[in-house]
Amino acid sequence: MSFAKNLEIASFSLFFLLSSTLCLLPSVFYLLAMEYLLHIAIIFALNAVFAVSLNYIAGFTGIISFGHSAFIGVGAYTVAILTKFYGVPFFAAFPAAFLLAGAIGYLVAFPITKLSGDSLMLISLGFMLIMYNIFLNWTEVTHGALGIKAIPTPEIWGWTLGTKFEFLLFAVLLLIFTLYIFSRITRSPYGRVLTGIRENEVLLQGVGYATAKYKRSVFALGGAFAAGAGGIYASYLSFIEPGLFASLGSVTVLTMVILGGLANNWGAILGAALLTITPEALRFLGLPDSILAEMQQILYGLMLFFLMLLRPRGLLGRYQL
Amino acid sequence: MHFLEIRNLGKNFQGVPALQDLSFTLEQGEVLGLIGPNGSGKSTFFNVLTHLAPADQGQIFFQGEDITQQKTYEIARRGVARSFQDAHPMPQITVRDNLDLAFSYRTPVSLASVFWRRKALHNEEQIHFQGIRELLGKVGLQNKEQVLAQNLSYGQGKLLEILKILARDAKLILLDEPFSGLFPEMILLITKLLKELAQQGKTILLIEHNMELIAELSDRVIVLDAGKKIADGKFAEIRRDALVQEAYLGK
Repeated sequence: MSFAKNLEIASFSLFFLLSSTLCLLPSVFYLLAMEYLLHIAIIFALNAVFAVSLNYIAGFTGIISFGHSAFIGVGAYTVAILTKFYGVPFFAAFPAAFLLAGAIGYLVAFPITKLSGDSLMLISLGFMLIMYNIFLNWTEVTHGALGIKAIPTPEIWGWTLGTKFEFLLFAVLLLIFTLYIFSRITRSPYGRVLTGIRENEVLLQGVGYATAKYKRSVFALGGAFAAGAGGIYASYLSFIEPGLFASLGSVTVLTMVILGGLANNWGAILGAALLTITPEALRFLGLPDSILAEMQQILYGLMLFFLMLLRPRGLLGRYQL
Repeated sequence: MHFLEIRNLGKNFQGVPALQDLSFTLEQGEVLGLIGPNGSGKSTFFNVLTHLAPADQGQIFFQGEDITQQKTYEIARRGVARSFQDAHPMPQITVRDNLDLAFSYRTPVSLASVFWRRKALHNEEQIHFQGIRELLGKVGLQNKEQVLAQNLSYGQGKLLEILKILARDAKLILLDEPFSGLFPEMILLITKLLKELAQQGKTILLIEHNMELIAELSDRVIVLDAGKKIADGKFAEIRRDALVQEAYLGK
């Protein structure tokens, strides 16, 4: 069995074991783990949704986009604003975040998907910068650099997500749903069209496919799921500010996808795990707080650098950039 | 109404004319050879016909309809299929998936149907896969179904291009040097496939430098030189044309 297949089986097994343990044995988990580990697990689950949704756009369809943090921000701000300032229940704000990000993704895809290669990456970066500046400067709605604090805790039919464990449950449920949706799509004839676009879009047009329509749909759906996770992120942190959704966020999520391996959802999850756990592990090295963030970025860069040299497909990737 | 009518077609690249005032007609079921020296505009004509490069002047009528400004995928959906000079498979997907895309273009699957019509989609898929196995078996590539297209040899890649055209069941087939770089057995195989297409009444435009094959396959030949049509007729007639000889052999 190949290295990649072994790693895929190991990742799936670890994920399944962790998820079932966390969801089915809360008392065991509480005995075994501290709040800190729950926090890491929540961040990992949300990062995994960000990565799987970007993998759909970048890995399967070949649209290498730097705009993903914009969708995460749209989701976060939608939930924060609706729940805090308009009293909208979380479970109405949550689908609203999906729909708004999907609509924005669909509209933005019109200019983005007319391009390819470097031009597409640059215009997606432009989209991210525009959204970041909206978050920063539309102060009447987003409160600008001050951010939005005391975002209400989600509540559904009297059940409040008051504990980290409950947030984790919700994040894992979203991850499982995300995996189901994107796995079903990418294994279908529709998914074959997406990989055809990635491989040779002009040839696919010559066969008779309106590829722009597919790309718009991909951008919308991938963005919608990122926004959904962004909404949970905002509720969990209870505070958001524009800096959370700047370019670095997009680069980090793209790194997760490339590191884990393009066009493999388990690869995206593995990449999310690596980039969630590794920087936390740095804390135990006793590095000063003043350089911790920079060291994290250096580490991300080094991981990507060496992986691209030694294994350009990424750890579990099915294809090469 | 002609099956295909080209009227005064012109194309420039940065002021340099690649096609100049090209006009001809083609009837259904005809096999038309398109020959000329390198750089005479043959592949450019295919690109303009399929809107990969928009025309600068003139019009293209396919089955009576003006398709000059239509998009590439719209022209393809009307039943125009094209192969490329250098084989262009989708490299990092399997041979089967390359062919399945050609089979499925007429009934594209919507996103909703991935969830609501799972069983029906699965059944349609199995029918396509069976058709793909038969096609691959026809040319001796049955063992290559799950091979990534980039791992095929050059000749097998060219064969895949032809198979994609067969899978599409197109009305107008544009073949850009389908025999270039192939060994004799492969040439025989592709010639046989093209003759079968011609017998089925398909209309074929064939760009080729091998004059024996042009003579064998074409009902009629057009010669281009520097983007202009310099001859149009049966192969036996045009090979004696002084202008054609000058274009190929020089003054």
